[in-house]
Amino acid sequence: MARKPKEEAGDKLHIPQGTLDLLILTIVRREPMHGYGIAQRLKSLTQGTFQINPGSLFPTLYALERDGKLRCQERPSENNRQARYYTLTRQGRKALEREERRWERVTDAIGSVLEGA
Amino acid sequence: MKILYRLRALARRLFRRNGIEQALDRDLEDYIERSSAEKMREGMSDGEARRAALIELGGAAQVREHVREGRAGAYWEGVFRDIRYALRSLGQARGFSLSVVGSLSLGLAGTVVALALINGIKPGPLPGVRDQERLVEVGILNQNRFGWRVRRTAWTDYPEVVRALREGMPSLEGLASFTESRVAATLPEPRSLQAAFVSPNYFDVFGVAPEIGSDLFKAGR
Repeated sequence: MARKPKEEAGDKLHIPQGTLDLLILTIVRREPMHGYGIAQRLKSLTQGTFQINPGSLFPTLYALERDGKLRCQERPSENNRQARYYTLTRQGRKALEREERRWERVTDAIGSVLEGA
Repeated sequence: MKILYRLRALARRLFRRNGIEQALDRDLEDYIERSSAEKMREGMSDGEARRAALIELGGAAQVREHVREGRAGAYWEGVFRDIRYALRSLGQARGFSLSVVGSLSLGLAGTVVALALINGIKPGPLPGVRDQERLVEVGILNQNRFGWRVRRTAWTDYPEVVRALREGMPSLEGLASFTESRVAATLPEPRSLQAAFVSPNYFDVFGVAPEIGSDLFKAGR
């Protein structure tokens, strides 16, 4: 019996190591967003390929906030509770630009290998 | 200024721990609420939706633990990085560093001198007196017509007052009284001396023996 490939289109994938910061910073670049919103946006943008659980999301958000790349604003949510919205700082914008350039180089390099092999 | 920013970051890192815990609680509560609301829109009941949201969260305690773990390692790493950075920046901004170090040195020197003076003036331990840390002075303060509080010390003249105080304060092991006064003595030339009239248990309370002569009360004279 032929072995079934482990991963096919539509399956969930692990977020490549070291790219979660890049993904989060990109998502909050457009507008301030709360934790749940960030997780949902990541899921919808990748059509469910990447899903992040709160156990990974919040430690990353707090690390980015600690490093000054994200800032938090408290706003009343729909049900009148105080919700925390994450927004990109100037330092975060610079870090994002750096990460984008780095990622482009990585994908170019991998693409070159795949095409040339 | 970059140095001040780093020092502020260090102070924030040291003192903001509680605030972070509260912020995380708000984040998690908000996450659960939004996730439940989404699940209810998909057709779940209130209770089911909340349960499913909690399962999706993977346990609030575990998420808190993950955040804490992430911060604990990064905490000291960040503190040392801030200190290193601050020192490096101080090394680069020589003029600023010198003025900071200079003013700190002057301030510290002044404080050290003041403390040394206070230490010098402060009376040292009384020679020969046992358990000095248990020794207290009891006094009666009277307010005079200027509103100042003056001490009355002539207790030896009022043994009944001393007795009443002694009975009223059982936590004291002993209570001795004394009155200081100048006396005239012939030794053999006549001289004026500072002397004290004391209660019979005076030496016992202090745990000392007379330097010269004998304890008249113990000798029964």
